[in-house]
Amino acid sequence: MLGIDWFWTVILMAVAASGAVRYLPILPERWRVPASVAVMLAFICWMPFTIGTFDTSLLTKAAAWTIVAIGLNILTGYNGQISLGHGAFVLIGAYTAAILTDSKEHLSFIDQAAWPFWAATIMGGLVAAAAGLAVGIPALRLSGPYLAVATLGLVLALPSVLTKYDGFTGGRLGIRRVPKPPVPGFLEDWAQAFGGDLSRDQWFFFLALFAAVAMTALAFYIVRSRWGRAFVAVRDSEVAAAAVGMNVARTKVTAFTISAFYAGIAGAIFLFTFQGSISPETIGIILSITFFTAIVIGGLGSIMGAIIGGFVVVFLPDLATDAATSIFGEQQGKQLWPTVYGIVLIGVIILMPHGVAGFLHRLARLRPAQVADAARGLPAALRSRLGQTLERLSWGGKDTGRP
Amino acid sequence: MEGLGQVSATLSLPATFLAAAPPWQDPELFFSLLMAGLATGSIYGLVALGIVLIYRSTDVLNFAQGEMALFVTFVGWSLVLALGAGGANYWLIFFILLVLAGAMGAFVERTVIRPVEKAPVLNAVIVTLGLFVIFRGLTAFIWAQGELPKGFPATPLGSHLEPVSAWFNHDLWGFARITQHQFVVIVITAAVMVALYLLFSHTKLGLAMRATAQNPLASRLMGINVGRMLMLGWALATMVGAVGGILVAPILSLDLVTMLRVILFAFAAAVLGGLDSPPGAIVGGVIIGVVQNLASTYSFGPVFFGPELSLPFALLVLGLMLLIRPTGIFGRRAVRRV
Amino acid sequence: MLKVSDISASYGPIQALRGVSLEVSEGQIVALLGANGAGKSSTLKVISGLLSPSGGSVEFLGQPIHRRSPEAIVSMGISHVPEGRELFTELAVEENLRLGAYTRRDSAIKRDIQRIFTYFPLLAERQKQPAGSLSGGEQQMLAIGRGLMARPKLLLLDEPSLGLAPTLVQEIFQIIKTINREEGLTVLLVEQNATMALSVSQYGYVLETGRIVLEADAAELKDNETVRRSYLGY
Repeated sequence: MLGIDWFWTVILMAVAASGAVRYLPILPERWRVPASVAVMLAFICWMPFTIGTFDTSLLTKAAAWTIVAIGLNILTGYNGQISLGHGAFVLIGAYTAAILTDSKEHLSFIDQAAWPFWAATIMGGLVAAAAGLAVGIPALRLSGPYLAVATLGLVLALPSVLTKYDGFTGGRLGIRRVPKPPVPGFLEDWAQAFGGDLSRDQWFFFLALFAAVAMTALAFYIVRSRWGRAFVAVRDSEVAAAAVGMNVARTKVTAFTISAFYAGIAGAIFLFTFQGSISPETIGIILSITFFTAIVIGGLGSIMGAIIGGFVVVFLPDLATDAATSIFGEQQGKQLWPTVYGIVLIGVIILMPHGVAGFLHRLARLRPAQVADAARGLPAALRSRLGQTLERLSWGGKDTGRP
Repeated sequence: MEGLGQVSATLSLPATFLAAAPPWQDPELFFSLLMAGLATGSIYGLVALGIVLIYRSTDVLNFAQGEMALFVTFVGWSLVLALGAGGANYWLIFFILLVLAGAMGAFVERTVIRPVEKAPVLNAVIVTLGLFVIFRGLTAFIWAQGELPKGFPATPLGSHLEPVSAWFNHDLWGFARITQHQFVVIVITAAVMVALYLLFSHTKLGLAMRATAQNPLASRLMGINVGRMLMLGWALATMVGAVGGILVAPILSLDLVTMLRVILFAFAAAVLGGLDSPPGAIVGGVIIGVVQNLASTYSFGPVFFGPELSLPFALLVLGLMLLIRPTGIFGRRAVRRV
Repeated sequence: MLKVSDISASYGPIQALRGVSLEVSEGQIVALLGANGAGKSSTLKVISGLLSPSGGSVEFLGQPIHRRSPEAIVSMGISHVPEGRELFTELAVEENLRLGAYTRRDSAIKRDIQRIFTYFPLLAERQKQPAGSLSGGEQQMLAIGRGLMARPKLLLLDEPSLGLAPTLVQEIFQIIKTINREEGLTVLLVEQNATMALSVSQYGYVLETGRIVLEADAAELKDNETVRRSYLGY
């Protein structure tokens, strides 16, 4: 019923708690950000033990898609290149990992033994990165809508190619029954020591979470490094960047490669912790476009925005379906949920032009005086006051890419 | 997204799935493939034209173009059910659908596109993606309760079952394999192009629309109501897209996924021709339509793409084209502002 | 004819005008002078409706126009030739001129185009060429011609001399003077080039950081010590 169940309650508690630690004057200034992150992580680690199996698996998927979102954000948010086709890189990563871990002879041509999953995951990322490199170079010639359509073409064309050339891709059916990593012995013992039990789904979740946290940390590092600054500089003005001696082409291609790497890793993680099989249809064009939508809704140029985006990808459709079925009834709700979804998308982007993260950022910066100012003027010149306040709420200067 | 490979088969001729005899051995087949490609390409071109018109006037890629056209066509289906599709009725329904499409386009521009005009460019993309999804849901909700796919009549000008040669009671070379409807499609598309050309280059309104697309600030100073021009641009584009939907419905029959197949090729066509060039949209559409037909029928030496690869092949052509001319065949180079 | 009273205006947090007042009488050429960023263009934008003032009023022919849209203001008889010309670069010269007459419904438009060509013969030669292919001077002529096509009662000219060679500037200012004399066109002229502006105008205002600091007959301004030193360079 509109999702006010235990799952969402826990999420709300997590957000409230970490938000409180971040913005309220409880801790000294320096400790606030790391503390709020720690609080959030604590809640997230607690969740698989208190919500059900289904919701846990959803969270697992969200963790995987968050990795895609972060990578895509590096490309689009920080470097300004649009890609609607990142689903292709996810697919490539997943396929690579599946092929490498398959123990059937005719599929693993690298060597006869199957690869361990973590090696397959990294390899998935690397192969996807290579693909990203291959795409990033011609992408140099394109920009804006032309680039958008070209990348869309990528994710459209890939399934057909994978189906037709089924030498080791398993053709239309893809690769089924990929071995998922079993729960490691030491963790099982550890859990038992705490008087509990670690189910497979919980293990998968923590695996995905670990990957997501690792990739997020990597992203923080990249964004603050010289590369990160180069990405933003090229986004803001290629001419100016070239004028100060940056290699614009190398920067743009690197951004593409890195974001493809992320997508590949995510694909492999998705394969091992959630899906267990891969076929050309698994990552459709709708999902690919949704990654893009999600990071814009979450907030471009902001790692937190990308994380919000990852959540949006997984949970917004369900929320929309819930809303639709509760307003229109079961059968019609199932037909109408895309409409609700679309209305939410449009509503959010009109009201929060810089995404949820951008909006929250502004909200946090509001001074009490400004709020009082707005309230005082309300009865009188309602619209002009509101206008001025909203104007003040809108993002003033250039995005520096701070999370 | 299965069945995409079937598009060329359904939109062209009942082709065999083996490589056909080369053109010099069977010129009649080649010619009929060209004509069929022209017809298919015209439809892609019409939808692409809508995309280009919107892009030119508001700098927005309307991802919902296909779904909006589909919605209007479905309304047409209901009207046909109510009024029947004989002669005058068909044209009455056609006219009503055009008005509906125009109103929808103007309404959409005013309500959801206008607010994101000043916002970051990517926001408009999200809005049109949102529109795409909204219209999908609406269409499913209203019409998917009954059985799908639904049939849709061709224009009274020509049936979609009879070949062109039936008009002349004579087995015209090559024309035996084109349906009358496909021929009508080509003619109507040409008519639309002529009408738009006349509008844009010979009327005050068309001049004002072109001016608004180039320089909204200066247009305001000329006394042009820029908002109204924007709405008009969207109205026109939606109408053109609706024509495309109405013409393709008899061929592909009305289903929830009907326009999905078309829109992908239409986007390719729009980009191929250059996003700010209306004639480019039609040219791009025709190129893709023809290439699609030829590639799925003939083999190039040892390589045979076949119908399943028609989409990737079209995209390959597009990709190569963009490498040579990054803004499409007729597109203008974007000015690099420092 | 035109009465600007105590106009304030801002671009977001930046306040451009802080209480500007000026008057233009029928048949006059009035100059609005000042350094870069003084608010000259902003004043014109408020008059033509492109910028909404936060305070004060603008009256044209007795009617308040500061809340009206640019389209309405053009119909009332004010034509604004903006800074940077803002031509329709991909449209032909002739089409640009026709657009200038957009609000007119009469049949004299073709005749007016010919008249513009007599003032600016260079434009006649390039009738069908896209406006973007013209030289800087020709573009300025086209922009002015386009402004004149509306048969305005008041012409707002924003920095017509910007980026032009001195001889060309002379030519253009002579033409402005001629049109003012022959057709009685009232002109509000914004210029950084004070010498040129004062040579054709009857009255002048000096703007500094959003405020009028000086106003006088053009002759007096030319002789004024401060003006001479700050704006005329001697």
